[in-house]
Amino acid sequence: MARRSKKLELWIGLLAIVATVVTFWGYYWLTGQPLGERGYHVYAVLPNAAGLSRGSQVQMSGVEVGVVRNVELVGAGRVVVRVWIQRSLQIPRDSRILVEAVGVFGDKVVRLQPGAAADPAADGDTLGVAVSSGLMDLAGTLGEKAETLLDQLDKLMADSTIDQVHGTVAALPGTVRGVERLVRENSGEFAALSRSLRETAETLNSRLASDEIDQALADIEATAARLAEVSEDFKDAADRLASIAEKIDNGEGTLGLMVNDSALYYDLRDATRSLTSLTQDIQQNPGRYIKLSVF
Amino acid sequence: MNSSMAETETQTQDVGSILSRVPAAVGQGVIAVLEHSAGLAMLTAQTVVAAARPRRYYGALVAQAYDMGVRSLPVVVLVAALSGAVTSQQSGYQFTGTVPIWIIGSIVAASVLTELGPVITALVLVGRIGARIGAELGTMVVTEQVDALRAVGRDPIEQLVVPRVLAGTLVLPPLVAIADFVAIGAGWAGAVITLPITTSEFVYGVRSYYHDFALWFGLIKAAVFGATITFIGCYIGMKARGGAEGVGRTTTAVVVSGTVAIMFWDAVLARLLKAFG
Repeated sequence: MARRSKKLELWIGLLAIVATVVTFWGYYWLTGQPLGERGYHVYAVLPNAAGLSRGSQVQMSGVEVGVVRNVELVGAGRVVVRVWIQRSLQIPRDSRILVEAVGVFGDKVVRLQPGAAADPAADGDTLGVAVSSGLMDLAGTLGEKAETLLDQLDKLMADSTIDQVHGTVAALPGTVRGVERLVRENSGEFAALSRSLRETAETLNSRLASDEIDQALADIEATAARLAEVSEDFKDAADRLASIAEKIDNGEGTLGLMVNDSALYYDLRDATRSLTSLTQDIQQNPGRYIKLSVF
Repeated sequence: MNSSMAETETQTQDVGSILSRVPAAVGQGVIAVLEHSAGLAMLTAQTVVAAARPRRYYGALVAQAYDMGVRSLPVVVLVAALSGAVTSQQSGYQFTGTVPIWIIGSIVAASVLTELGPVITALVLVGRIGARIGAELGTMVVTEQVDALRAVGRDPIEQLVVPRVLAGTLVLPPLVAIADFVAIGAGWAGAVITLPITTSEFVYGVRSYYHDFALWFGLIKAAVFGATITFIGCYIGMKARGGAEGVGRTTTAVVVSGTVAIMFWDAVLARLLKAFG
């Protein structure tokens, strides 16, 4: 009886050992921490854990290097995160941690951003926190754009627009029938027009193939060259005229003096008035100036 | 005229009979619930008291633990492997092409750790252990072996109930722990063989879901289920009446009641998972 009891105890003990080993090995496997691998813990104080939880991955350059061991709220806006990092990875003491969302469902991971310090972080150190520009920010930007797009869609889908579209659609059958009737009634003319266009195109092709076009192009080139020379002459003339105008403006020469000397203008006007007065007087009293004697 | 009156009187009596039978049935149900509640409470108290003397039932405890644990292991492992493989297959058919494929790993881990591991194992053991306990104790009762124990000064609770309940409570968690990882392993194998998923994707999905409480919660449920199965088996077995036929009814009652009780506890304990998980 005692022997049987010992045998049963042995089997039960084996079951217990197997279950314990499986549970511990499974626990370490599930948490992503290799069984027996040594590591060290660092801390970070976050204002917001953003859904980070025990067992979340810790990555550096996209490679898993540890696991989040604990997330504890110690006060309003203060969440202490304990991170386990494998001992083979030494990170600078001024490294920072960043909580980011990955995947479609926004699973949270801790990313290590290595610093530049020479001395490595030790067990128990508190790392700084980097600001995330993660998926939620992108989602926010996307949301704003979507909102703008929806506003524009709302405007596009306004009742007046829809009425116009409906009116246009309602008028389309009539328009199509009109076009069909037009095509049917003028099919002969369209055919004639088509023939005429074809003949014209053939004529043009034959002309383009002849030497006349080449000769005409040569003439046009020669004319263009001559026009260029004439244009140069016109330009010289225009320059000279501009020079003369400038001299006149500056009061140089006879014309310049005449244009710019107001005294001459007034003298001429006085002279004109005197001449007009003299002419009138001659007309009224010709005898005063003209004396006729036959003998 | 007389026959019409008699017919009316008969109908009145039928209606009165039905009206009186309904509250009577309710009353019988309430009395039965109260009787069972009192009986369970009494048996619980007796079991707790008797458990304080381990030397008197240690040998029986070892024998029961061996029978419930070691001898149940093959069927538990087989059922766990099948349930894990089926879960990954079903979720693969449902989710391939619609969501990231690593979700299958998360679904397998969540299903196995919180539900399939403990519940399937418990349901298997209801049939294997609960029915055996019910039949065993029922036979002992109807053949007056329990009375004989009392006659020689042995406490049947101490000799029969305590070892079974303790063995069930202690043995179920290790069985469920093994079943959990066997099921996850089978889920992984089934997934990588038949679905467009790699090992790393599956493992990523499992780890994305995993949180400590899910594992411990499954083991806590296992202990509760183990106690429930054995306790119900003992309670119903100790109340067996009516010879071989009565033992048969007892066995059936243990399986049905045990199954319902496990699902009830599962629903109640799910609230705990939601509250603390």
